[in-house]
Amino acid sequence: MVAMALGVEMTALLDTVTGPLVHITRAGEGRELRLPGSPSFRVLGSHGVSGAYTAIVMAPPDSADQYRHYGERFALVLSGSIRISFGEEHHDLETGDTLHYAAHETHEARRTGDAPCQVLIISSPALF
Amino acid sequence: MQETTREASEALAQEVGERLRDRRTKLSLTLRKVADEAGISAAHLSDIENGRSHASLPVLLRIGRALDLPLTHLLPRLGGHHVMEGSLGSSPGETVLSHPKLRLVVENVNLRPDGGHRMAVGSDEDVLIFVIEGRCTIEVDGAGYLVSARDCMDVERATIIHITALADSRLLVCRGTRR
Repeated sequence: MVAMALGVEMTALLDTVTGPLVHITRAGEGRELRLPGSPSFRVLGSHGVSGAYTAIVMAPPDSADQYRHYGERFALVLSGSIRISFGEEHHDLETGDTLHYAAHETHEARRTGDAPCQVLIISSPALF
Repeated sequence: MQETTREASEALAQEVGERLRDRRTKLSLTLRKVADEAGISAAHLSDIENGRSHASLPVLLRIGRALDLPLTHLLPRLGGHHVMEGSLGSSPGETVLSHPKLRLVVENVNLRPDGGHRMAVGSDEDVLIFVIEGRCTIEVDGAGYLVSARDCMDVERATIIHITALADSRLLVCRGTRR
């Protein structure tokens, strides 16, 4: 009734009531997912498809897999080392290195070296 | 120079064509059906899909409608080659790690014990804070949370975020705009 009287959507009122939404994924936690044709990964943050991004942690494969996506990716190597290539352009990333890229170009990613490797990947727009 | 322009133009036609074909096959529609709806011949649509022909904007718009594919979904894919390498710093301070032409804004924020970092958040922004190492309290619009190494905080609809380090801390802070 209040919403109708003020001529606003109910959600506009609810927003002010609920305030910020905070979700913390503790170290090593997060939903484990596996999509067809990709290594399994852990979800650290996502607000559904209308969200700004999806953040995951994954272990890149040893062999070069090809990718091509809508939008952009930000990668931070948490451990180990990887190579991300756009054709002949190679980016060799060690622990602590980052790469931010438009993902519409075909690119390859693989682990380099023997050390276990984990990469934080933030995708935008959100994946799910 | 001319050669470069021609190559770019061919790449563009190829990119648009692939996108249209992907969408059409995903919807299980025939060339004929989509071409009819767009008011062009199936042969012309085939040429466009194969990158042999540039569709005019009005034609592209009509094909887009037939495929329920807004032009805006087609055009961002044509964005150039945007790649930016970065590296986490070790000294206190903020370093931007994101590419200026892309949408995500990513910073590496390093704090000494008791050091602080305050952020005003836009009403359409989501913020992700990943603790690379260290321990911090993060206040989101007045409510405090304790986070430590490898914790990840995802914040929606906040106005002010204030981070205070309890130990030497390295953070990745990512802002994105909701759709």
